Amino acid sequence: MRLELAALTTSGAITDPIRDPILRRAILELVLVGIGAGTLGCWVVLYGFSYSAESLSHALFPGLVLATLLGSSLVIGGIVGAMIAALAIVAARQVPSVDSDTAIAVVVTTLFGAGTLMALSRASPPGLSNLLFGDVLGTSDTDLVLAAVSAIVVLGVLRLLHGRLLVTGFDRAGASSLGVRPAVAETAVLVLTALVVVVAIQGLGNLLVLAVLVGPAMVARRLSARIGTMMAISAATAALGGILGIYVSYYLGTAAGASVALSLVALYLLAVPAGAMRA
Amino acid sequence: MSSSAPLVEARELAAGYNGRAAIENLTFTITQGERVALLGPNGGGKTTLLRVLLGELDPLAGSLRVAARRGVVPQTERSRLDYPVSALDVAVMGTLARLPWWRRPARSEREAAREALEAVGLDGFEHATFGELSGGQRQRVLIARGLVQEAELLLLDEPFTGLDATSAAGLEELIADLAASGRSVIVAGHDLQQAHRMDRVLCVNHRQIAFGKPSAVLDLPTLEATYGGTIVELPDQPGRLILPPHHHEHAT
Repeated sequence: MRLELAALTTSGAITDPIRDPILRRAILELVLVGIGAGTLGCWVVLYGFSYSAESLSHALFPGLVLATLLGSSLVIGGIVGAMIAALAIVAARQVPSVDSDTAIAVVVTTLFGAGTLMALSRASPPGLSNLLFGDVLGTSDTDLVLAAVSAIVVLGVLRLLHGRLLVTGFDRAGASSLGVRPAVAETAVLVLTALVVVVAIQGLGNLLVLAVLVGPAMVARRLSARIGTMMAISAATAALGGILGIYVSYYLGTAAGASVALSLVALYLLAVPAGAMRA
Repeated sequence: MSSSAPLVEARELAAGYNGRAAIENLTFTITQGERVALLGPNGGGKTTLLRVLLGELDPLAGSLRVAARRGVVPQTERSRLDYPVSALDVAVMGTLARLPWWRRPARSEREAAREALEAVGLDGFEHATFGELSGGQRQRVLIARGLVQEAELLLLDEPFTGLDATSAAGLEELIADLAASGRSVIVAGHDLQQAHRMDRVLCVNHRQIAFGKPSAVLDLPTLEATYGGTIVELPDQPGRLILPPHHHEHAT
C-alpha cells in the first residue's frame, strides 16, 4: 500500500508538469531546439568555434532588439545583426596593431552593450529583456514551427556535408587535396550556428543559448569516440537537459532558461567520471 | 619497375608565398613507380615543394607538369589525435574527391576503403580509433586514404618521424610495394640511410642542390651544401653520413 502510494506520488511528480499545456509546449520547444543545437554543437566544439558561437550570439543581439522594436522577424533581425557585426569586425581589423581576437572582442562587447541598452531602456516596451534571459514558457506556435524547421535544416545540411565537415576538422591543411574546401564547411557551421542561436534565443535567451550548443557536445565528447554516436548523444543530452530544466524550474520556482543551462552543466559533471571510466 | 613517361616534370621551378620564392631553380622528373627521397633542412622548402606538387601553390616561375592523381600523407603529428574518427572513416575520406558534394560515401566506397586498409596491412583495424593507433599504423591509414583516392603520385611528409625501427622498416617495405605496383612516391625526410635505398634523391635548400641516383647524390659535398656543413661522417664507418639530431625536429 505504502509502495503503491510512493509509486503514485512519483508518477504524479513526473506527469504533473506535462499536464500543463504551457509546460508541454516549453518542453517540446526545448527538445526541438536541443536536437538541432545538440547535433550542431559537436561540430562547434570539434572546430574550436565555441568562442565564435558566443561572439556571434552576442553580436547579433542589437539586430534582434531592433527587429522586436520594429515588429519584424527575429530571423531577419539576426541576419542583419550578424552582417553588421561581420563588417564591424573587418573594419576593426584594419586598425594597425589590433589582432583578430581583440577586434572580435571590441566589436562584440560594443554591439552587445548597445543591444542591452536598448533592451533594458525604460522607453522600450516590456518583454525585451526576454531576449537576454529567454522566456520558454511563452513559446508560441510560430516558435515551435521555427524550432522544428531549424532542426530539420540543421540535420539536413549536416548530413549532406558530413564527409566534408569531417575532413575539414581532421586535416584542414590537407583538405583541398581531398577535394574539400575548408572555408565552405566552416562557413556552413557558422551559418547554422547563427540560425540555431536566433531560434533558441526565444527559449533560452542570448546569455544562455551557448549552453545548449556547447554543453551537450562536451557531454558527448566524454562518452564517445565516434562522431555519429557523439551527435546522437549530444542531441539526446540537449533534449534531456531541456526537460530536466523545466522540471527543476517547475518544482523549485527558478527561471526556466537558467535551470536548463544549469541542468546541462550538471549532466556534464556526471559525464566526466563516466567518460573517465570509458577511457 | 619504372616506365619512361614522366609523371612529374619540373623545369626551373620556383614557388613561395606572397610573391616571394621559398624554392627556386628546381629541375627534375619523376617517372611511374619511382621512389624519390626529398632531403633538405627544416625551413629549406620541402613542404613548399610538396604543396606546389599538390597544386595548393602556383609556381612563381618556371614550369611544372604533374600528369598524375595526387595523394598526400601529412605528418601524423599534425593530425588531430583526439578527433572522433576510426581508421575506416579516415580511409573513406579518400573517396570524397570523386563524389558530388551532395553524395555521401556509400557501401561501395566503404568497401574500397576496407580493401585499402587491408592492402596496407591494417586488416581488422578498420574500427580502431585513429588517435589510438601507433605512429606507424596512423601512417598506414593515411597511405590507405591515398590509395582510396587512386593516387598515382603519393607525397609523404616526413613519414618516419617518431617511428620505432620495426615500424619504420615495415613502412619502408610498404613504400617499396607501392612503387612496385606502379605508384610514384615522394618521401620528404632526413634519413640518409633510407634515402640510399630510394630510386632517386632530390636535395633542396631553397634551391635544388642535386637530383639523381642515390649513389651519385649522397656524397659529403652535396649533403654539406644541402644541410649547411653540419654532416657528420662516422669515424668507424667511412662513407656513412649522418645528420645531427636537430635536423630531425619538425619545421614550424
